[in-house]
Amino acid sequence: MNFIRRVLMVLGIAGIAGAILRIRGKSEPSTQRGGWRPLNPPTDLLEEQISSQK
Amino acid sequence: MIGISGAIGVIGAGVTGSRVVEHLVATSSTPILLYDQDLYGAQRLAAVHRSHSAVVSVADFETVATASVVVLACGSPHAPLAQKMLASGASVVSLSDDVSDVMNLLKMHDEVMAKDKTLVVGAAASPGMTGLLLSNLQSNFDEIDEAHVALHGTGGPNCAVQHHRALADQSIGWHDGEWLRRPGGSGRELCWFPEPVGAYDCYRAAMADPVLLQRAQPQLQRITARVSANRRDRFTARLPMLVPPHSEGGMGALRIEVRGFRNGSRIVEIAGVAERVAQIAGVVGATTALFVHRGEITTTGTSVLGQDSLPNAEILRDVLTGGIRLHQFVGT
Repeated sequence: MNFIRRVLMVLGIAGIAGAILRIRGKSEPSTQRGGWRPLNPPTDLLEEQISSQK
Repeated sequence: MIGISGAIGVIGAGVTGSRVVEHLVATSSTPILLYDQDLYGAQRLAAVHRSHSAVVSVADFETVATASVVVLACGSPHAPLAQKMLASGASVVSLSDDVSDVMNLLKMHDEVMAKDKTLVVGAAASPGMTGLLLSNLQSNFDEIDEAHVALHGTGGPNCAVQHHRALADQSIGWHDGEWLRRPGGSGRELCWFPEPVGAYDCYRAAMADPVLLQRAQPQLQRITARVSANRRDRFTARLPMLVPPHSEGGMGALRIEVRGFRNGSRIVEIAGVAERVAQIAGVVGATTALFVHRGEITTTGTSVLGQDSLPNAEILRDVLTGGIRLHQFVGT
């Protein structure tokens, strides 16, 4: 009984440690500064691309 | 009786399937044959579009297979369904985003070629829209060598289950000519999506994008795909879904960062879309199906959006006309 209890305790501690390791850490930003520019309605670039393919 | 051979078939009347039907009804008068295991759901969707110009009929599986092109908008696996559809003489557009399913679909190339049909693999949001954006951004470069995809949000419940599984499975990435497998949920990166979504932490996950983008543009040296997740998602990724998924995820977004050279300088271009994921997938899937149906995609065998032999610019133009708003990131 004691053995089972110890095994469960070890597994539990390992699980908690694993979970903490998994969800900790810092974000690494992919971009530093800037913003989003809308490209709609369908741009001239697309029209150019289509005509150049023809 | 509608002209069955001239119809477009849709399998799946869930969130994504309904968006596919909505877009087909809005942009063409082609009859639509709809099948779903949930007959009541299919009938309800057909009834919604009863007053529109395009006839939406609920049909059995065998009847849907007689359509000229069938959109698979149901849960994965799509490979066995595609096989049956191709055997009946229909071309297929699959919206699957499951890595193993996508691999199985790609393996069907010779079989599809022999039947002189078209099988478009991964014509959804991510993959799908990402391929179209890659092709669009490519025109700004002399040479491209890297593509990095990030996705936020989910479509319907099947998509949410797939998102949950993807964080627990191994991610697959293309790195200098080799496939690299890394644990899902690792590699945190803060990615900025178009407004109103904003910034989210994204992690490696089992996504089909690298497989399909590498196939579309084999010159790429590095391809990664990440998905947004919070601590709870990552903590519970290896457990069964504890809470049933929402009927539809909220506002989603995707972005693709392409790196390469122009006039000898290293440059980066980022494009993104903010919209409900099922809406993006539905519009891309339906538009692709219309192109196959009208004979504007003549490539036989398996194809992926973004490959040079497809009319990507025209497909993207129609997708944007369908109400998807494209954004470009300006900054560093």
